[in-house]
Amino acid sequence: MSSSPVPLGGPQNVEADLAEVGRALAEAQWAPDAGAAVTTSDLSLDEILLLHSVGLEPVEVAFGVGCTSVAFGVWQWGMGTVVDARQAFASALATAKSSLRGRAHQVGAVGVVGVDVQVDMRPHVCTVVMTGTAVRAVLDERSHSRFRVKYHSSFLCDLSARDFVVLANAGWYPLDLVAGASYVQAPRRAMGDAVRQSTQNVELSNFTQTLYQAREEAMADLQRGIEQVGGTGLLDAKILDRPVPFARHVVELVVYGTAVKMLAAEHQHPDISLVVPVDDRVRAFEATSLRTGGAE
Amino acid sequence: MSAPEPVQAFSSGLTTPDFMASLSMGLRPLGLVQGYYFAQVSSWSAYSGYPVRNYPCACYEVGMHQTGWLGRVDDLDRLWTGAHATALGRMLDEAAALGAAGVVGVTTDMSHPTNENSCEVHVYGTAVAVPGARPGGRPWSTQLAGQKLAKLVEIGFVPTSVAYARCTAMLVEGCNMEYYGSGRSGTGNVVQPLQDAHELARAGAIEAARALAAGASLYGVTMWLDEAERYGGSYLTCSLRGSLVRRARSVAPAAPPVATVNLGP
Amino acid sequence: MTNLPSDLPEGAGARLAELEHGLFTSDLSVNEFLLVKQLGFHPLGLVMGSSIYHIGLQKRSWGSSQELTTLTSAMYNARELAMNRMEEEADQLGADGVVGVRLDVNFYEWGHGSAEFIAIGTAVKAEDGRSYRNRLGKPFTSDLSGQDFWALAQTGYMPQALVMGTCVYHIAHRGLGQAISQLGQNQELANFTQAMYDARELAMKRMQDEASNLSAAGVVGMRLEEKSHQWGEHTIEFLSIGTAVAPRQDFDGTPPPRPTAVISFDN
Repeated sequence: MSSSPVPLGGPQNVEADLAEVGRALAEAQWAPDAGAAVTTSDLSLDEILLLHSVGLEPVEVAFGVGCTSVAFGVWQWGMGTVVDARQAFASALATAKSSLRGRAHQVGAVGVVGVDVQVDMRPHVCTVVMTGTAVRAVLDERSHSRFRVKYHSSFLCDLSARDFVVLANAGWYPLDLVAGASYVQAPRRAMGDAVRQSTQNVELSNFTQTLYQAREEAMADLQRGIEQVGGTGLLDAKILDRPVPFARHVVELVVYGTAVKMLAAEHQHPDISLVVPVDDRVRAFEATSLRTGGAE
Repeated sequence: MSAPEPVQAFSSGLTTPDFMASLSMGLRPLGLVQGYYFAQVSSWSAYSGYPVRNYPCACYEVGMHQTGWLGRVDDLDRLWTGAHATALGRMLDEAAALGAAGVVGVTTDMSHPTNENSCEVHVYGTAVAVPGARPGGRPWSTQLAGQKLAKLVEIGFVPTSVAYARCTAMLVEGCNMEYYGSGRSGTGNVVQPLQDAHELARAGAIEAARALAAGASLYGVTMWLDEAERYGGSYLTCSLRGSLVRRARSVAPAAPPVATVNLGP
Repeated sequence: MTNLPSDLPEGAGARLAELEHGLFTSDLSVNEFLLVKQLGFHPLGLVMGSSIYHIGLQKRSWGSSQELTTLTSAMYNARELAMNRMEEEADQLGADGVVGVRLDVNFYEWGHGSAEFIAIGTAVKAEDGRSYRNRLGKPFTSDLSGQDFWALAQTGYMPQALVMGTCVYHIAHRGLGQAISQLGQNQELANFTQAMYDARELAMKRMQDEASNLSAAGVVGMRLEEKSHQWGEHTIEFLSIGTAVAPRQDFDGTPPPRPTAVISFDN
C-alpha cells in the first residue's frame, strides 16, 4: 500500500480492493505507523469518514462536569417554581460547559460533537455531566486547514457527527449547547374543592397555569441562551419532563439542544431522492456498499 | 468470489453476513478462541491507593475538621486492567496455537466493575487465518468483524488490540460535603470535592487508555461511570473500552453523502 | 403582543415575542429541518399547550358494557384544550402550521384523579409569503414527521389538522354462571367482541366527523391507541388519531419522483 492519499471508492474492481484489504490485514502486525496521532474516539467508522469529508477528525473523548450546591430547605411543600434548583442547574451547566471547552482547547480541538448530557438533581447538589468527542481540523499537504469555518471558541453540539456533516453541507453550523430548566411544585387543592370536584370533569386552571408557566420559563431560558451565543435557532430540542425522584411533588423540566447559525450566504438545498428499502431479515454482504460511506 | 477451502471443520461466532465478508476478504475462520480470568478482591484493595486532596471545612475555623477527602484507588484499577490483559493474552495464546493472524468480533464480558468480592473477565472471539501472513507474530484482535472491519482497513487503519482502561476515585464525606463543599453555603456554588472526584475518575481513565495505546489510536470507545457506596466512601469508577488501531496509510476525504428520504416502514 | 389570548400563561407572551424577531427553536431533527426547508417552510419556534384536567368519576355497572360518557368527554375536552392553546401560540407567531405534534398524557402521583395533557410541536411558516392555513383559517396541525410531511407534499396533498376521536368504554365482566358454563370450551365471547367493536367504531367515527368538518380528502397516518390509564383493565380508552389532508391548491400535478429500491448494508 502506498502512503500517499488514495481516494476512497476509486477503482471499480471490487475483487482487487478486497484482496487489498486482506493484504493489509496480513501485514497488520508489521505495518509501519503512518501517523503518530493518538486519539480516543467514541465515533463509529462511518462518522469518522463523514467528518473527514468536511475536514475534521476526532482527537479525544472529552468531558465536562459541573457539581453545584442547592441550599437547604428548598424542596419543602410550597408554591410555584423552586428558584434555587433552577439557579443550581444553570451554574452546574455553565461549569460543565467551561470544563468541556477547556479540555477541547487543551487538545487543539475546533469543537466537540455528539455531546451526551446527563442531569442529576439531588437534595443538596446538582450534577451536569457532558461527554463527547473533541474534533480538530485535518491539515492538507501545505498545512492548511481543510475545515473552512473559523470559531472564536470551540463549538459544542449534541448533534451526532452525521447530523453535523449533513447540517454543514446545508450551510448551517452549530455554536453551543444551550439549556433551560424549571422545577415547579404542584399546587395543592383545598380539601373542599377536592371533594366537590371528585365527580366532575373540570380543568384545574391553577394547576394548568403553574405547570404551563414553568414550561414557558424553561423555554424562555433556552431562547435567552441562543441569543447570548449569537445563534439564529435551535435544532433537535430535547425535553426531559419527570418528577424529581426524592421530592415527587416537584416536576423537573429540562429543555436543551444545539444553537445553530447559518454561515453560508444562503441555505443550501440538498438534492433529495426517494428510496424504498427492500431489506429482508437476511442481509447479504457486498463490497460496493463500502463506497456509500454509510450515508443514509 | 472464491472461498478458500477450509482444511478442517471450524467453529465461529460470526453472523452470516460477517462470515461472508470475512471470506470475501480472504480471511479463513479457524475457530472460537477464549481467555478467562477470575480473581478475589481483597477488601484492603478498596483502601490501597494514594490521597489526592483534602478539603478543609468552612464551618469550623480551627481544628482538623474536614469537608471531604479525595483519593485514587489504583490497586483496584491495576487488578481489573491486569485481569483484562491476562484474559486477552490467554485468548491470543489460543489463537496463536491455531496459527491465526488475528481475532475478529471480540466480545468482553465482565462482572460489574465495582463488584466488591470478585473480578471476572471473559474475552472471546473468532480466530482467523490470513493467506500470506508472516508466521510468528502476536495475533491482532478487534471488536469489529466483517463489513466494519473492511471499512476500517479501507479508511487506512489496521487493528492492533482490544483495550480496557479504568480509574477509580474514592471520596469520603466529612462535614456536610454536599452543602459546604465549596466552603460556602447557599445555591449555585461549585461543590469542589464531588466535582474533583468526577473529573479525577474520567481524566484518569482517559489517561490510562492513552498509556495503554502507546502511540496507537483507540476507536469505537464506550465510556461509562459506575458509582458505589461502601466502607464509608463513594467510589466513582470510570471505564473505557474500545479497539486500538494504527494508521497504515492516509486517505483522501470521502465524497459528501447523498440525501434520501426513506419510504420504508 | 397585547392581544395574547387570556388562557395562555404570562410567560408565553415574552417568549413568543422573542420568536417573532427571527430566532427559532425546534425539536425537529437535522434531517427533518432540511426537509421542511426543502418544502419552502421555515421553523418559527416550539409551541405548546397544556391542560391539567380533573377527570370525573362515573359509576360502572359490573355486568354491562357501555360507553362512559363522562370519561370520554374529559379525555376529549382536555386534549382539545391543550391543542387549542398550542394553536393559539402558533397563531401568535403568524404560523401557517404546526408539524411534528406530540400529544402526551402525564399522570402525577399528586394528581388524584387528574392528568396533564400536553401538546408540543414546531410552528412553521411558508417562506414565499403564501398562506397554507386550513379551511377554518387556523394554522394546520399534523403529527407527521418531517420525512412524512415531505413525502406527503410530493403527492400533492397538504395536512389540514390533527383529528381525533375518543371513546372510553367499560367492558362487562362475565357472570360467574356464564364463566363456569363456558369453562373448557373454545368459543367466541360475543359480548366482549361486540363491546370492543362498538368502542373502536365510535372512536373512529368521531375522528372521521372531525375530518369531514374540515372538508378533508382523507386521513393519513391514522393510529388506534388502546389504554387503560388508571381505571383498571375493564375500562379502556380507544383513541383514534391521524392527520386530515386536502389537495394543495398550488400543486402543479408533477408526479412524485420514482423511488429507488435500495438494500441497506448497515447493521
